[in-house]
Amino acid sequence: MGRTIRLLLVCSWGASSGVLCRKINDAAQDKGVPLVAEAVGIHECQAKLPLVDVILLEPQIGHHKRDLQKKADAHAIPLAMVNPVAFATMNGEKVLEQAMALVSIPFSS
Amino acid sequence: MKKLDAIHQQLNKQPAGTTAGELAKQLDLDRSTVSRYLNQLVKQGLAEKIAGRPVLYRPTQPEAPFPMQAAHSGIADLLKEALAALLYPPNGLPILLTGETGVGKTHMAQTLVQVATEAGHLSPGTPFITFNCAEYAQNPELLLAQLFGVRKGAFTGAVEDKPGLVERADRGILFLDEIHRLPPSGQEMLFSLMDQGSFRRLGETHAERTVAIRLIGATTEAPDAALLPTLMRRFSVKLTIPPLRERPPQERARLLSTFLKEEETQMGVPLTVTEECRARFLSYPCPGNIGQLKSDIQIACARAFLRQLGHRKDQVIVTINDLPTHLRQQGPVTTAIASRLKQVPSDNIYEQLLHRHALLSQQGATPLEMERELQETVNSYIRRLVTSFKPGDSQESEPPLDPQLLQLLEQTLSPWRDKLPQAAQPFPLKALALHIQAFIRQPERRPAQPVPSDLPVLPLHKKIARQIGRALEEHYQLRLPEYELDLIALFFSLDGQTDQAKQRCIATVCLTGEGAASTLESWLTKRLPPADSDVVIRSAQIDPFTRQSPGLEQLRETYDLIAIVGTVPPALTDIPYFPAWELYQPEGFRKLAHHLAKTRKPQPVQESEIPLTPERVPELILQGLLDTITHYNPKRLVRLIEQEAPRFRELFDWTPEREMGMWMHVGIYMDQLLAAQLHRTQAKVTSQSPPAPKPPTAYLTLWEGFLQQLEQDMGVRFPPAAAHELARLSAETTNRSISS
Repeated sequence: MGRTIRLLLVCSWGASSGVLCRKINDAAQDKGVPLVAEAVGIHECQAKLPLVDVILLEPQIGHHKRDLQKKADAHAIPLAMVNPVAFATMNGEKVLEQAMALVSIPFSS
Repeated sequence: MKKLDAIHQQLNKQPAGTTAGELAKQLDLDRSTVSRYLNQLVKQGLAEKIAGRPVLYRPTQPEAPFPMQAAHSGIADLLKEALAALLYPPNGLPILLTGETGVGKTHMAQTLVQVATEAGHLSPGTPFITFNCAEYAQNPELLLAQLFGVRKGAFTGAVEDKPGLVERADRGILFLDEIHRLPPSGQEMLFSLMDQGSFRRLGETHAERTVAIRLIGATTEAPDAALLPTLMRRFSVKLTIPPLRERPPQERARLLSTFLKEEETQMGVPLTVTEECRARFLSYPCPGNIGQLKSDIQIACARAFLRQLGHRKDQVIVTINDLPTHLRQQGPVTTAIASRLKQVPSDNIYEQLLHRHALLSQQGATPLEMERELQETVNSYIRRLVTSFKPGDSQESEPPLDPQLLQLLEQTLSPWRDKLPQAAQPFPLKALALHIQAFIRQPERRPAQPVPSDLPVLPLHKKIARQIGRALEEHYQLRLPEYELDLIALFFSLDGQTDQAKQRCIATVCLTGEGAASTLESWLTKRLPPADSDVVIRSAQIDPFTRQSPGLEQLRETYDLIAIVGTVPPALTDIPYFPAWELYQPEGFRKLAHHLAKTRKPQPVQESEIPLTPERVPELILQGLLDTITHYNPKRLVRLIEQEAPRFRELFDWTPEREMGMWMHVGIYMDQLLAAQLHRTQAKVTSQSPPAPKPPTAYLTLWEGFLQQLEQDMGVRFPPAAAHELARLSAETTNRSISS
């Protein structure tokens, strides 16, 4: 595999996403998947947006999806909501799989 | 084996290049010997020298193959025969090339010279003069003056002595295109030139000049009728290049892909051609032969490129609307042709991967871009396989599937069904079976060089691919190479990539694609019902005269186009059209909303997933909190949430997902606060949001009460702004807080 994939996990203030990020990174390391997740609050995500390969939104900010989708589209970066159940159960492995599936499908979201 | 061949072979294994010393070591030969042979290979055009220190050698990169050479053996034979004639001592035999317009006569001449030069039969500086006799056909004197030169005063305007092309071509090659346009007097002059190697400039009487020229003539006319018999006889070698329609279909397919690759290289963007376009390119009567085929392809590609300039730049797709009119007016391709086309080998996935890989590394793509591209290449291959299996036409056009293979795959995959819902669907399974069957039955299509192995493969998928590999080994005594396993693994990452995965899309249209259409786009975006938030809205332009719209065609391919909204009705009639004026009235908008509701897709049920309901929220967050929380007992929090949740639901219009997100946020935030209290530090998490207007008092009161209760129960202290922040977060709606 080539370069590391960068996942941006967006939540409201970076609290819950921080925890989930850690779990995703753990899972990635376990499985040997070259992915690094980073947490960010919705108000700071603008600057990071063009620098990543895939974006996931946490459920509590689902109402921002449409706005962000446009911005992500402009950079051709896949974006989706975190699988809500995986989020609630803080299942890093599952979110990792979701992210990988998104990255491998660049032309639809 | 000769040393030269051994070195050549060894070099071919190292496409990136190597040094003479390194090769010498590998072959256990003397370095200077290797170096000498390498230079010989370079001379023969089989290797390239890369200047530097140390000097690197690498095998010649397979260029976009010369279309005729790559073609069937008939053309290759022609080329050989022509080459022999050209090099016949001392001055070669005159060659006459005939064939319809556009079959590649000029190309043949150029290739002849190129091949002869590369092989060392012609020295590099040999003149190669090309002249089209049709250029001055209206003025025979000027034509002859150009060709043979003029003496000063030969005719009015001949103010100085001037040599002709014949003289410039001395000791070289003169290529006369459209030779039948030479006037009879010119043909006579040419005849004596060929016969004795002598001629006179126009107006000269004495001095007979001599030259040594290898002559190639070309004509589209039947040469017997167009050329003087004397001249005709002097052409001892006459070669006819067959028209496109007389060549095998594979060759046309190969030409098509060669030209497409050329275009792609020029654009620097991945280029795709829809199946339908491809079929038309391969089947339309192309009286202008290769020349016309090439220019038609260029026109289509240029149109597609322009059209896509305004939209996405990461891929150019040639659709039916990009084709020149004479191609578009063709009737639909019959299934007979379509099925013949399917067997054309340019569909070879390995070739495609190799080509893409080479192209990308040439462009300096990052590994990630590379992965994406390669995955997309595989995806479209799979899509093609899948679509060729649409129910209905499966009996006719496709080679029958081996039922045993299908069964074997089904068995192997059955333990994985839970993890791989898509692999259990009949279509991808059939696509996979079809792929493997092709691998088994057509060994010649397996790649000659190693396929790039940096495909983005998930470990789980690789594991399944290995199991399939083992099963095949057992039943078919077939050992799959590593890249093949990777390729199979990619079949499983194609999660719902087929039709049903297409996103719904509403197109807004007007005559410019920028005015009303873009206003409508933003207007609609704000008004979409929440349940239809998956719908994307894109604007497109409609041609004022034809009502056609390539933009719409494009959207239709990329998305599931469910409706068109705008100021001009498009030519597309099979997709519902809503005039803009109607939408601005409540009645009209309801119509659209109703249509949206109708096209809503059932949410893909993932794994065991029952739809998320508010009732399931507490149990789920408890599971998540138990796993992450260290400073309090999550059960107590969840019990409290269960108690209070109805009051929140009453006030806020949350989806269950959003509600769950809010509670998780509170739970984790609280844990961090407690940790900070414990270690007497500041909690890391503070709001980064800009100062905002005060939320409604009712929201604030509700959160203040809830946080107070938490403070009492759990001993946590919230910062004063917490309730304020949470209230704001709870009340946020779309399109506000993150303007760029």
